[in-house]
Amino acid sequence: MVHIADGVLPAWMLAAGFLATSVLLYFSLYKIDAEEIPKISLVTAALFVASLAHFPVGPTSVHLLLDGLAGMMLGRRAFVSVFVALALQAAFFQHGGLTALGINALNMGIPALLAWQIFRRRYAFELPSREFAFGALAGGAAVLLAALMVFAELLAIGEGFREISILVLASHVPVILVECVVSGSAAGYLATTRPEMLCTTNYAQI
Amino acid sequence: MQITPRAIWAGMAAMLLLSAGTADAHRMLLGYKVNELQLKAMYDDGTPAQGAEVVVHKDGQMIYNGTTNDEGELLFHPEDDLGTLTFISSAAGHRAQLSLNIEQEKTDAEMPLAARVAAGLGYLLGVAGISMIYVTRKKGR
Repeated sequence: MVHIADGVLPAWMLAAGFLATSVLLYFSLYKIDAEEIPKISLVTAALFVASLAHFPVGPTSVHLLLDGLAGMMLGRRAFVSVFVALALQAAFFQHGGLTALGINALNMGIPALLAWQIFRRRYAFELPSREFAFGALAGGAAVLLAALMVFAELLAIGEGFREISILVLASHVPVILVECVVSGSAAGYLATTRPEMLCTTNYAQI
Repeated sequence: MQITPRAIWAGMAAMLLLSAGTADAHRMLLGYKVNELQLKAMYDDGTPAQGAEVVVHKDGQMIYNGTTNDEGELLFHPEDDLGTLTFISSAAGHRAQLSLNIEQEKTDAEMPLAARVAAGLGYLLGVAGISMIYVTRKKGR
């Protein structure tokens, strides 16, 4: 449901989406180093195929987003990763449309940046499993924010409150829970085995 | 930060394998089923072919026959995919044949999902590879 298709939103909203997306792309690509690109490509590949793992919830169908995990691994570079993954999904799977790419990138990319900001707060705590705890928190929060953004956009164009509450918000509750487990486990595993795969503070600082 | 080319290859290969088993993707599709089909038999000047015999064939077997009414019309309730059926009307030496295989043409035109996944991953692998070559060359200098 996070993919908004072509022809759903009005032109002004699509244009505003592209405008905001270009600003964030600039921020995301700022002073990028060629050495970072392989890691970004790998995370983008995961985002690209994540939407294929979908399951039915009530009257609709939902899928994993993994944008929280992208934020934790890539930091500010997560936005460009989300943008490229969505462009490929639109081109190859017709998930969302090319005209809605700007809005969809915001819906997925801003939560990814939020997840990065939540996850980097873990250093302030001396918990034994802080990567798991913060990973789960960031992963869940990212999905929640993405669903809320889609909800707000659909509400703004006059969709029925009750219908979209069920179709967008309620149906994403299981996704939030699954993403908490997936992101938390991934962060915990990477922290012990390949800590360099998680976003460190040597680059990508605000 | 060190990511080896082998890790990138292994990661992408794993994702391709995981996605290969998925039957469909997450977009909305609108399907249809025709429960009633109104056939109209007429001559080329527009005169309805009254009382013409209409037979329906599936894989060479006749599954239905009927006769058109005064308007040259006949209502048929198909139970199978329309694309598999052939309709033949005949009356006093005239004969016409009709096949409806719109659905088959549509599905044939679409790339299989695994190929689309591979295409997307191919782009990403290409970008990763080019950047790796660039970094290696820069370090070599």
